[in-house]
Formats: sequence, C-alpha cells, structure tokens
Amino acid sequence: MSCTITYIVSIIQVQNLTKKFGDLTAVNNISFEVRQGEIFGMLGPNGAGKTTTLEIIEGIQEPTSGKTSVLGLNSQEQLNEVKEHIGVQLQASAYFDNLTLTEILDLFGSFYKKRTEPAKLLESVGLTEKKNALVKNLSGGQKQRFSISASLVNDPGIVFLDEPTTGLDPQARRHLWEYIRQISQQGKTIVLTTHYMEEAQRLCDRVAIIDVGKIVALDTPAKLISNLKSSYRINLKLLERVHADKFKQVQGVIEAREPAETEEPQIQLHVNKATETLPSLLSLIEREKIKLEDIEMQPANLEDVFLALTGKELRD
Amino acid sequence: MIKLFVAAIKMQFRDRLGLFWAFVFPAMFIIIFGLFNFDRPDTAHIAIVNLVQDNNPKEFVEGAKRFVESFKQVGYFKISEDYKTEAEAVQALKNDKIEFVLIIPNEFTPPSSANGNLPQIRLRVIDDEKNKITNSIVMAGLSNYVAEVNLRAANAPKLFSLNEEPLKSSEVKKISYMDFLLPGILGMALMTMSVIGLAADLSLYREQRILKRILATPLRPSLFIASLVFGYLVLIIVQVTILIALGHYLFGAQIYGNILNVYALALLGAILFLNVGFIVGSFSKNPSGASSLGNIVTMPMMFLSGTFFPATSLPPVVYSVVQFLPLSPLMKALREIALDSNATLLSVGPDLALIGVWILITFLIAARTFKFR
Repeated sequence: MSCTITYIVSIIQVQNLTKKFGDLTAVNNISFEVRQGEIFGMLGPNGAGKTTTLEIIEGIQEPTSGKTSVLGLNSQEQLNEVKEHIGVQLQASAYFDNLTLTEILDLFGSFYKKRTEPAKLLESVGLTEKKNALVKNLSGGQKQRFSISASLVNDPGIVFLDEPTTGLDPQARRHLWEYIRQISQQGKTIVLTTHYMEEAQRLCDRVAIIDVGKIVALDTPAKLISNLKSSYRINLKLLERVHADKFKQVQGVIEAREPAETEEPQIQLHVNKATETLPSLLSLIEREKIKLEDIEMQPANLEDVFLALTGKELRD
Repeated sequence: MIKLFVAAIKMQFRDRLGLFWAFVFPAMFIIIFGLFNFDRPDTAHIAIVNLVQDNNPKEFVEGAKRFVESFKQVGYFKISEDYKTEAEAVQALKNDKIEFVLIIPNEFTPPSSANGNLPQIRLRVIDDEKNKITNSIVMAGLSNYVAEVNLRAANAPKLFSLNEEPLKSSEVKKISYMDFLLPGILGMALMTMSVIGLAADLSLYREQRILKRILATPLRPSLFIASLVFGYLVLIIVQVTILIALGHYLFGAQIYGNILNVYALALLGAILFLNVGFIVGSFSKNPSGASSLGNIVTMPMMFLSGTFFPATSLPPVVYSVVQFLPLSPLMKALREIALDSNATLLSVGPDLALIGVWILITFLIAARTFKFR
C-alpha cells in the first residue's frame, strides 16, 4: 500500500456571500472553499442560488455583500486577472450561429493571453469530425461537450460548469461525466452545479447541498450519506393505500412516509439495518393482510440526505 | 483582436435573413418602382370621328381626310378612328376610354366675306370638364394646328417662323424618377438594416446568453460592441454599392454628385441608426420583438422622410414636423449629393448638423439603456 501525502490547497474562497434581487435573497450569507484538483459539486433544486453563487465567483455578477476570491485574487477587484485563469460554461448558453466550431474556439481563444488549439480542444471532447459544423447542427450532448471545450480555450486551472448535463438523456449524461473526469485528470479543478443527485454522488469529490440560498451540508458524498441516521431505504409498492403510521411501529424503522409524487399507493421506509427490519416488516405485512405488489431496497443516497436536511424532495 | 473583426464580418455575411433585409428587400423596391414608368408623359387619347360624306364637294372630302392624316403625324396625341358615330365616341368618353372627341361634321357654313368668300368647316370638340389640364393642352395644340392649316390653305405669307434647336440629350440633365428614388432607397435600406438587424442581433445574443459568455472572458465588452458596429459598417458599404449598381445598370439611375460623398453620408447615417438599433435592442427580449419594435420605429420614417416621394409634397404642417425626423436630413443630403453635381458636403452642412445632433442624442440614450448582459 502506497502512502501519499496530500497538501490541501484552497483555490477558491467564498466568504459571507450574499446576493439580493430586490426583496429576494438568492444567496444568503454563505461561505465555503474549493480545494485544488477536486470536482466540487453544488447540489440543489432550481432557484436554490447555485448559478448566482457561481456567477459571482466568475465575476459576471456583483455580490450584495461578502467576498469571493480565486487563486488568491479577488473576483471583484482583480476581475480581468481572474478571468484569464478560469474557464466558464454558462447554463443553457449558446454560441454564434454563423461560425463553425473551429472558428468559435479560435475566436474565444483570441480573447486570452494563453490559448489552446481548437483542434486539440475538439479532440478532447470527441468532436473532431464536427470541426466545420455549426452549433445548431449538433445534438444536445454534442452541444454540451462543445460548450465544455469552449470553456477550456485558455487552458484554465479552474473550470466552472453550470448544469452541464441538464436536458440530456441518461446515456448522454453518463457519457459527459467521462469527459468531465478526463478534464479533472488533467489536474484542473472543477466546480459544477447540478440538480441531479446521481451526478453529484458519482462525479463529485465533495458536494455542497444548497437550499434557498444557504449551504445545508458540505462533505464528500460518502460522508454525507453515512451521517444519515438511516442507511437504507425500503420502497413498498402496494395494491391499496395504507397509512404510513402503521409502519412506524416496525423495529428499526426510522421514518415512514408516502412519497408525494407517485400516483400508486407507495410507502418509503428509512431504516438503519435492513437485515433487522425485514423480518418484522414481512410479519407485519402478513398479519395485517397488506396487499403488496413489490418490495425494493436500496442504500441511502444524496436524495435521502437532501430530504433529511430540508424535509423536501430534490426532484422538481 | 483582428480575429474578432474578421469573425464579425463572417457572421454578417453568413446571416441569410440579415442578407435578405440588407439586399433583397431594398432591391425589390428598386425593381418594382423601376418597372413602373413614372417618367413617360401623359398622352391625350383622342377619338376622331370624320362624318364628312363622299358626296360633298371634292375639296372638302379630301380636306377632311388630309386633316385627319396630318393630325395623326403630330405624335403627341394618341389618335383612334375606331368610333364611327358621335354617339359611340361620346359613350367611350363617358367610360373614360378616351379623353377627347374631335368631330368633323358633315356640314359647312356657306362662304362669307369674313372668311375670304370661302366656306368653313366647324370642328367640334367634346371633352370631360374634369380633365382641365389635359383639355387646355389639347385645345392649345388643336387651335395652333387649326391656325396653321388655315394659313397654309389661304397661302398667307409667313412673317414668323419657328426653328427648334434641341440641345443634345446628353447635355441636358433629365432627372428621372429612378435618379430620385435611388438615394431614397439607400437611406431606407441602411436605416432598416441598422435598426432592425442590430436590435435583432443584440436581443438574440442576450437571449442566448452570448453577451454573458463574452462577459466571462477577459475581452472588453466595448471591443465586442465595436466589432459588431464594424461588421455593420462593412455590410452597409457593400449594400450601398450593390443597390447603386442595381439602380444604375438595370434602370439607368444616375448619381450626379461625388459618389464618395454618398458613401460618407451612408456611413454617417449608419452610425445614427446603429445607435437607434442599440436602443431598440435594449428594449427587446428576443429577435421577433426587436423586429416588431424596429419596424414601429422605422416604418413611419420610411414614408414621412421621403423615401419614395418628396417629403415636401406632404401638407406643410406635417412637413414642418417630419423634416426633423432622424431620416429626413439624411434623405435630403443624400438626394442633394446624388442629384446635384455641384453639391458638396459643405452645401449639405445644415443637414449634416441635424444628423450630428441626432447621433449625439441617440448615443446618449443608447449608452443609458443598453446593458451588456
């Protein structure tokens, strides 16, 4: 077993950041740090303040109060210096309709002191064949890949990806994760926002869970999950509706609830040790003659973390 | 930086819809108006009804026929002999198929001393009292003609003669409607393209977050704006060239003044209307909104500032106001330079001053309203 010593270097600092739009507080006094080389995820529902936080760090928006710095440079005061060292992919941002991919990358590269060859960038996201195509002729996944390649034109040390996989089908999403991991392997720090639990869990080294402008938790996905009181979730699909309270008496059940969004009768149980709970659960079902269609058990995930911390479900 | 300006030109010339508005739309006006011929003089359409019957004395029968034949030679009138009776001809007059009926009656007054002991044919003319101008022209022509025929018939000595000495047509400037129209189309075309085109681009860039994406790079926003303006100015130079060439080679339109001054005015006008484009773009959420708002702004000017007809032919009260619209001084200066070979930028100074005032006003408004994000 090899032993590695990791120096943890903080590359982005956010201190007491607040952003108000009139009466609405989009970002409410948040502070966090991003470490060099990590994939840092900001997970939260739409409107939680993820994009606003990101855009303040990038220098596109001004904070109402608080401070952000990148590589020790203040995002507000040393804006142009910061911009030279970061790569930005905006949420749902398009590029010029009448330029080819190569021309767009060449043009954006010309805005920076340090630049990368368009051909190399396109190769890194598997778009070499499309180098003379227009953006409008790309598929959704290709567009997102191109958008990521455009954020790398200045060979930045830090890359910001705002909802990079929103709107993609699951296959295209997983495909894109591979490209993001490859960028991370080049030693770049990546900060991304997402409202997909799975994306944060599978892709990110650390995740900040954000709700209504506040960070409610920040840690590695594994730690966030292990901090939960329950480590498993049992889904019961029923043929007729049964009140969730009935299951609370079962040994080891921490929480029993009816998920809000389903039409069919369902019960969700949060348990600590499935092996202890299952026998008593099954005997309850037999005793009460509950008509069961299906039973499903899965380890707890960030979805459950979000639910436990905010009382809300992550999905829209 | 050069890459940015090259890219701006590439984008300008690859935007098909933009090119349609830049070239095809104004060209359509030139072609449509060029196909109408507004310059051909109105000829009066006259029906001659010769009722003189063959059983009359020979000199009258022959005289009447000679009168008709020689009248046809006049050329200015369009003569028809299709109507055989007075009633038919009058019916045609009532139906506005002809403007004039000239009747040679089958009767003549007996010889009298007042007429040198000769009989007299009394020609009758029927016209429509509403056509006052045509009537007076035709009557003047007719009486001259009748007098001339009379004098010849009487073998009267000629004290006076007229000798027409026409100047060669190349020496005389005949300003055609096309000459007048071309500078109007130039002004209209560069206005609509600058306002609607730029506003649509800006709102699209905002809607698609391209402006925000630019903001995330170290590029100065003002440089990006400069590249956009540059792209438009290049397009406008090409537009002016193509429209002048089209008007000239297809419809013979002439630019009499210095063509470089036309370009200078076009660029000045473009700067004014690009400012307006920034303002319209500030208030438009998307390209179709920009196009609607742009049309609301440009359409009234297109008609009131004299694209197709001189603004001075508007009612004086209206003209006293519309002469200050942004397009009006540009139209006036363009036309003066285009139609008067002696006109210089100095002689259109007051117009240039008004354009300058508008550039200043629109720039200040644009700077306040346009947000780069």
